[in-house]
Amino acid sequence: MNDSDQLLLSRYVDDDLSPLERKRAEALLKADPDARGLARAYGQISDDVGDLPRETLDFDIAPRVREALQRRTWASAAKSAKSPAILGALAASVLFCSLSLGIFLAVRDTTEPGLATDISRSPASSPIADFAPSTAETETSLSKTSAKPVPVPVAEPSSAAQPTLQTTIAGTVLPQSELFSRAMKESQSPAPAARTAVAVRAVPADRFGEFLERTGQIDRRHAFRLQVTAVSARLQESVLSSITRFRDPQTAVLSTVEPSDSKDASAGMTYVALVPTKNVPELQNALRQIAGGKLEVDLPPDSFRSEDEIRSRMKVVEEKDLAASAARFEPPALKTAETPPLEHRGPSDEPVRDAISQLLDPSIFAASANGSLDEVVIRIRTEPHRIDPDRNESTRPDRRKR
Amino acid sequence: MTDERTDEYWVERYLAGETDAFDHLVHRTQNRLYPTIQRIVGSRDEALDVLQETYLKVFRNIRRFQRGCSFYTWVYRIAVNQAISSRRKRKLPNFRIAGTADTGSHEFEPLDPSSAGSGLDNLLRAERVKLVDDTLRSLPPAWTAVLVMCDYDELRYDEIAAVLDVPIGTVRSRIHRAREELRKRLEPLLKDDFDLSPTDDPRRGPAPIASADDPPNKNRP
Repeated sequence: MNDSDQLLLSRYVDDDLSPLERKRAEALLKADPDARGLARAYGQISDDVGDLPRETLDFDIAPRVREALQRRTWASAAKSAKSPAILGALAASVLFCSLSLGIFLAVRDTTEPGLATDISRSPASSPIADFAPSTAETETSLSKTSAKPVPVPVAEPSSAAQPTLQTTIAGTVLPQSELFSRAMKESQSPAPAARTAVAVRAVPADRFGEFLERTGQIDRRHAFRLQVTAVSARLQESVLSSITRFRDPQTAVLSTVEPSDSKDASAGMTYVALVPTKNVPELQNALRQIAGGKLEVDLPPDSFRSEDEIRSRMKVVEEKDLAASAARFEPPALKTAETPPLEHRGPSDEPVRDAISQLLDPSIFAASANGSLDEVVIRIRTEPHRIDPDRNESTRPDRRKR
Repeated sequence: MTDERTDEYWVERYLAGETDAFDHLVHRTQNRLYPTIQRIVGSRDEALDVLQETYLKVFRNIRRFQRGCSFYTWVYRIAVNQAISSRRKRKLPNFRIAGTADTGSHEFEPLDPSSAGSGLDNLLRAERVKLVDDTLRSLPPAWTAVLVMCDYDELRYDEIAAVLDVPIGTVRSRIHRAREELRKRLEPLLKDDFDLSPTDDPRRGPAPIASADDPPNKNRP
C-alpha cells in the first residue's frame, strides 16, 4: 500500500474526506485486507489517544501567574544564540553577549523620603499595589547569602559619578534557588525598603498618569540583569571575571551551559548577574574589549530568555570560583570616558518598542518626550570573532563534539 | 448558580481596568487547557510552567485580542504553541517499547474501583495508558501536538491548521505520519487487540465498510 493510500485511510478515520475520496477509501477497504487492518489500527490509535486521562488542577493557578507577572522584568536579558557561520572560527569566538534589561524610569531629582513608603503601604485594592511586588520580595531576591539588606546602590541625585539617570528602578528578580530561598527567610527582619516599580509594565493605559504620579515619589534604586553567553574557555573566563568585578557583590552569579541540550561545538556558557547601574559604563567597556569592540542592539524581543528558564536551569556559581575569577580580572584598555553613551532608542526602534510597548502603554513614549520619563534599553551583542587566529580553535576544555 | 458570563465578558472587564477579571479568565480556562498541555509536554511541572507562560503571554497581548473572536480559541492557540516550543527546548530520551525507557514521572488518574473488570484488567489498562502516553510523546513535538488536538481534543483538521497557522495539507500529513509512527511503535499492542477483539467497527475491527450515513469519525461538537 502506498503512502497516498495510507494518508487516505488516516483521513478516513477522521472523516476528512470529500465524497469522492470517501468512495475511493471504501473501495480500497473492501478490496484490500491490509487496508482494513491499517484503518483499524489507525482507529485504535485514535481511540487510545482520545482515552488518555484528563487530569485537572486542584488549585487556582491565577496567583502563580500574578506572582510571575510581578517578578518578571520589563525586558529579559537577550537570549544567546549560536552562529551558523564560520564554524572553525566560531569555536573560538564570542557567540553572544547580551547585556540587557535597562528600563530606567527617571523621576524627580529629589525624592521625598516621607512619601517613599506610599506605594508599599498602598491598600491592596490600589491598582498600583496590585502590580507592585512586595518590598520583602524584592530585597530578598537581590540578596544571596547575607541577611543584610541588599546594598544595591541608591541613586544619589547630586552625585557627579552617576550617569544620566539619577534615580532608577530595580529591574529584576533573580531566580529563587535554594540560596535565595534561604536568604528570603533570613531577611524577613526589618530592612530599609527597596521599592521598585517593576509593576509599571502591567499598568493599564488609563492609569498610566496615576502611575507616574505615584511612582514619582518612590525612593528608587536599581540594578539590571546581565546575561552573557560566551564560547571558549578563555572568553568565558574573561566574561566571568568582568561580571564578578562589576556585579553587585551581595548577589549571586548564575551559570548554565547554553544551549543545555546542545552537543554542538559552539555551545557556550551563559552567566546571569545583577549589576548596579553605576557600574554600567565600566562593564560596558570590559565587554567591549572582550567582544572586540563590536556591540550592537538588534535582538528581537522573542529572543529573550524567560524567567522560568533561568529559574529552572541556572546554577549559582560558587563564591570561591568568583573570587578566583575576580583576581584574574584585567582592566580594559579603554577609559570610561571613551565609552560611547548608552544608546537611547525611541519608539521607532522595533526591538525596544516591542519590548516596552507590549508591556506598557504607548503613552510611555509621550512621557519620555515631555521629560517626565526616561528610558534606556541596553543590549550588547558581540560579533563572532576568532580569539586565537593562529590556532583557529577554541581552548575551551569541556567543549563537546558532535 | 452557574456563571453565565462568557470569557469575552471578562476580557472586556479586564480591558476596562478591572484587574481581577484576569483571575476569572484564568480560572475559567485553566482546566480546559491543562490536560492538552500535559499531553504534549508530559510532566506536570512542565505543563504548569507552560500554562503559566501561556497566561503571561495572554496578559501581555490581551489588547491585541480581536473582539468578536473566541477568547478560548485564542488562548488555546497560544498554549499549544507554547507547549510545542517547550518540548523543542528539551531533549527527550528515545523511547522504546522494549525496555520501556523511563521518561520521567507520570501520574495517572486513579482507577475507578467501581468500574467493571478485574484488578488485572485495570493494571493492563494502566499499562496501556502509560505505553500510549509515553509513545505519543516520543514523537516529534509537532506530531504529538497534532495528534493530541485531533484525537484528544477532537479538533477538525481546519481548526488544527488555524491553531498552528499551517496549511491543512500539512496537518493531514503530520497526523498521518504521527499515526503511522505510533502504529509501528505500538504494533505488538495493537496486534493483541485485534487478535482478542475483532469487530466490524471500522475504527476497531476489520472490514470498515461503512455507509455514508454511518461515518467512522468521532462525534464532534
